[in-house]
Amino acid sequence: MGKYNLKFIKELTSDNESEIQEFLLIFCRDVLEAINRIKAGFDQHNLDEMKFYAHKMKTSLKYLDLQDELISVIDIEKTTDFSNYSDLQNKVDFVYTSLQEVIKELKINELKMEIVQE
Amino acid sequence: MKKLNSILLIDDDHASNFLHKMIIQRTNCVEHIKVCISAQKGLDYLINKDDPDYQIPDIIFLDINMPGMNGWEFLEEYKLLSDDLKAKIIIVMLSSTINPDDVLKANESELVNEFVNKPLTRETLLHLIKVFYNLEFE
Repeated sequence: MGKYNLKFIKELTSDNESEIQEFLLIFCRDVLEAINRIKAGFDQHNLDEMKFYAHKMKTSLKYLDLQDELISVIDIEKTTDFSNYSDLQNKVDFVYTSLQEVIKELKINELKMEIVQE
Repeated sequence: MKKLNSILLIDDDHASNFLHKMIIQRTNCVEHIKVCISAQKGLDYLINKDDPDYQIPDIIFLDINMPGMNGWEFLEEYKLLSDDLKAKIIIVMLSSTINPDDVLKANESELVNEFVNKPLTRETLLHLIKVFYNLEFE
């Protein structure tokens, strides 16, 4: 979990560093928004919001080969109600926590950003 | 070598737009690439011939799930455009949908020429250009 793979992006960009960086900045920004929206959607019992952002995030997860997160995101997208509340909560928590970690690792290891600890 | 004139990407996913635009640029198969981040903006672009960027696209890559107007709603409006315009355009649905009804609907739609799963690859792009325009690129 949480281990991203840049092989696909590196192949597509022919290992062009600035294009990889530009893509990763977009990835970090959009995936962070999506996981926050999914979490907020869960807290507010807004299934449409959760499903929309789960769907929206899928392709980005494929790009970095984040398979475990992708499986959970697809499960969230397929959810039709809150009847299996704890299972859904586990998936939302997993996606939120794991992708926050991925974003942090990308910022430190690939984008060479300094992360300020709260 | 003859190229396509224009490709239009309609997708609200910035990461996909970035990569798809890059893939298209690297094939060197088209003169102009236009990206619209909503279906409404895509429709506005097709209608507004006074736009200095205006080019009739040879291919539209259309996402399905977008906020506001989705891909299907775009097609409802697109259907009302002139037959002359539509005759020049190939529409490819480009989606990561898990809904089998979307694939079925795309296959049954007279307006949709092809359904492709995201991400668009170089091979798929070259195949589409070969099939619909009989042009081959390295």
